[in-house]
Amino acid sequence: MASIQFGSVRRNRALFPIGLIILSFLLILSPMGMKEYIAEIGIEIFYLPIENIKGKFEDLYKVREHARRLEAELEKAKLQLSYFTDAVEENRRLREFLSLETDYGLKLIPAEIVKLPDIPNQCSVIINVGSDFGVRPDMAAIAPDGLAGKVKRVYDNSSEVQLLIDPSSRVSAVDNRSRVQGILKFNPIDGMILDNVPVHEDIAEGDTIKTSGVGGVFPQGIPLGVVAHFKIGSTSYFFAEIKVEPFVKFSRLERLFIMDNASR
Amino acid sequence: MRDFASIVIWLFVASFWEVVVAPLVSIYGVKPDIGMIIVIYMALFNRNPVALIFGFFWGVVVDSMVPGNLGWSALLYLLVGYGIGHISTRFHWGTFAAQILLVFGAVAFYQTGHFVVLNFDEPNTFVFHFVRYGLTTALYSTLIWGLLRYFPGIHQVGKAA
Repeated sequence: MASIQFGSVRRNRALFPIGLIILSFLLILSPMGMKEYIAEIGIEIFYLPIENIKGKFEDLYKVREHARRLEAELEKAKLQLSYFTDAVEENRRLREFLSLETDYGLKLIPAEIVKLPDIPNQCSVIINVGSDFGVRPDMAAIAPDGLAGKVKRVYDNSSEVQLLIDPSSRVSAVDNRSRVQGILKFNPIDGMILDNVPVHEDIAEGDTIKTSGVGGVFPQGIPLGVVAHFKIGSTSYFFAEIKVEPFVKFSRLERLFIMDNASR
Repeated sequence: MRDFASIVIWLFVASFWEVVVAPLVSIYGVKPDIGMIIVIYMALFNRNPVALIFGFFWGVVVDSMVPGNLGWSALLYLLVGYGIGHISTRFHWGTFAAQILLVFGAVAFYQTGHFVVLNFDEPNTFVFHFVRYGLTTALYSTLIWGLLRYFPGIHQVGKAA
């Protein structure tokens, strides 16, 4: 192939290297301006395009690295935001608890729920404060929205709180508007009901039900719920059927405050 | 035309190596002389005049970085290409040992000339530069040639001559 393409070179085999050598010496002996000009052409043709492409790839790599770093920072920021959101929510709940202490004028013992019921029907929770913190049986356990239950058993560092949704729970309650009294209890079929209210009593849907203080277990005036349904004569001719929607969302309980009755 | 295209492509390949690959494989500032490896390959495989022309232009490209020395590298690569092309017809370069000697000798020759020109005004620094960069570059280039020998087709070098 070389013999075809460089046929003239082959014919002048001796002259060709000599010609290139002479050309080299001409380059060596050429003035500096000429050398710089030729060097500039060489750089522009062979080095600069490759340098530019290399630079672009390096930039691309840097951008990718930067994007990866930003992505990691974004994930970190998301986690922090989630943490701060939780902290804000916790702060809000704690403020609500603090306002409860002012509202009821009683000493409140803060408690965290550390164990939920093992059995779905068992409606009690374990909290992380016990007799060491001054918790005693039958103390009221309140949530920001209202009464959650009462302390059933007390250990050194923990206690069991019976929630209002326990079928065996009973609370003396009163209609905040008409002052009609009844017993608030829970059964799995009807939900929370206000029992023992005669049919002729003045109860209306939307009335707020609070603790009456009768019996001495719960202080008076702790919100319990709102009358959601009022019906006469369906189950009994003597007592009204009153369904109460509790204020406390029992499935979302995280913290409770135990009301120290002795501090009254 | 095909030879011309081949020379241009090889010039770009060598430039790519110098700009992109050489900094990555450089060991303490020493990098293999890929231009010389290509010249030797062409001189043994394609023989003259492709090796001569590539050597000349690659020398010009190399000297572009130091315009004051423009022409010297062109001359040195040219001489190496010519020399190897000339002696390859008289000796058998198919053995590995012979090729190793050839590559090392060619790179060392180029480096000697290169540092003589560079250190012309300061002869005392020649020995340091030659030992520090010249011989190490020759060794590194020889190693690369040794590795390239296992590439398909490379082992044919020498037989063609």
